[in-house]
Amino acid sequence: MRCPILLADMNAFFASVHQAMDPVLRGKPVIVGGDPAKRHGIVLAASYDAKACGVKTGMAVWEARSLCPRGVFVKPKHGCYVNFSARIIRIMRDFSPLVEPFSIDEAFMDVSGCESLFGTSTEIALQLKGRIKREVGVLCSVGVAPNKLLAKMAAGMQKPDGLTVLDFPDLPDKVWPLPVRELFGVGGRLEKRLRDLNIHTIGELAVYPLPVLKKRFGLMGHILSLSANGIDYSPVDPHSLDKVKSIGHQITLPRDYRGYQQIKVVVLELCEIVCRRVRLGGLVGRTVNLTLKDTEFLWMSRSRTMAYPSNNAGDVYRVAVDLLHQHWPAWKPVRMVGVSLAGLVKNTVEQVDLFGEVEKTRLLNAACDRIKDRFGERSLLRAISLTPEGVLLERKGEAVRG
Amino acid sequence: MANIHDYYRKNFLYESHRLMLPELRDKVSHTCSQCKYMFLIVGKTESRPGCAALIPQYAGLAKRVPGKLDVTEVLRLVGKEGLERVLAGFEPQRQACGMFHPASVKKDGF
Repeated sequence: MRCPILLADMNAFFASVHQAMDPVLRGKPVIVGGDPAKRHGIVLAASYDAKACGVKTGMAVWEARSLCPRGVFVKPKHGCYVNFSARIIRIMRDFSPLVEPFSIDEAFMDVSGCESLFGTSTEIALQLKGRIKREVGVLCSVGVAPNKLLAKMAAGMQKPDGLTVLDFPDLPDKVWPLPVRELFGVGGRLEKRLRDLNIHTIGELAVYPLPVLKKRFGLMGHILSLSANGIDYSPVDPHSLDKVKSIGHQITLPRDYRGYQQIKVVVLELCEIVCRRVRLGGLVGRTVNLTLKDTEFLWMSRSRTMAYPSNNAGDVYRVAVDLLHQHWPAWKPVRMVGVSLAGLVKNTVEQVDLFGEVEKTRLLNAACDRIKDRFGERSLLRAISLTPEGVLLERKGEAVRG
Repeated sequence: MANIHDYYRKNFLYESHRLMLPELRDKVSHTCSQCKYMFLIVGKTESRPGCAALIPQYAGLAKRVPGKLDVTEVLRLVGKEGLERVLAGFEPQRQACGMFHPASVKKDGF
């Protein structure tokens, strides 16, 4: 089979899920947006009818309202998006076990060896689109190609409800004229560095001397050259989600927080959430990462590796606060905070301490986890979540006024 | 990254761009047999596993899903057709569906 790799990319996924759940919304411009009062008032997704009015993802809700007065504004329901996404992955796994979810609305599939069961890769793509539309009620664009890179580019070429086959002979006409930023893996910074070398299109990158690219960008230069020529050896890995690289959580604050005392409250709440998830996975982690964003959306991200792996919120919090003090001035207001724990391994060995504090903490965490398993995540909170700086209760609309 | 072979073998380009919600990860990397909704329907001559998410009283985990339930009780709750749906809803090795909740305790026989 020449082009055995498929990428299914759901069209305007969040908006499509709402339209699938509520037939009244079908055919109308649907805009999924947050709550402006909580400073989450941006457009998360817009249906194609809304996009035709100029509504874009990331735009402020008030701006979207002015562009599309007929638009139907709905609040996001992440649980529903996850359910729909899981259903779509299940349908894909009926065709092939080699399915690699890439995001909530995209997944790769390798259909090598499935010809005798389902036909050619194009026929499989058509069947897949039909089943997703019938059973889930969402449209998707499918790219069919010899590898993941070209499949991803092909899926983006025709939206909505597209089916594009992209093979190596198609590169000069369909891929090489595109701006170099369109090549998957090329971001803003890399684009600028390539422009400095007078490389503006993927075709120019494809023919650029390899030794120069390797000297300038190292290993990445070699990868760029191969990618521009449509070459990608990455496998479709169905076990990609089994290996958790890092677990994190971030939150946009309802107002700007100033001073370490306020920010530390949020950091502790995030450490609790992250460590709870790490323990649920039976893991421990060593590298703590703290991310902060200021009012001008400039962000800072710093990491530190602990001496011993841990899944205790107190240990992660101490490192995170240290990073906060070292790298963020106290006067600077904060708009968004994120904490993650990386270097995750299975929790099989524990470092024992002389006074038994580690064991006590472990038992306490286990008891708290059992309570939350039984009665829900909000059944047990730290006392600081009840203070005005706490964000967990405020997000649920149970703001505590101090 | 040591060399180009490792770069592709470890799926580095896609791993570095992958953003997965933990709830979605749970649902697509687990099977029915690891779900909280799985329970045993005890009949007269045999017992078979079923999916409690298809019983309204247990959907949404409003009530705790028991490890075992007598078939007469299931018939009382959902009727004969409902019983067939509950039985068909469980396949031990099939990918978990959208209603998946991880079972905190391993259930007997699974």
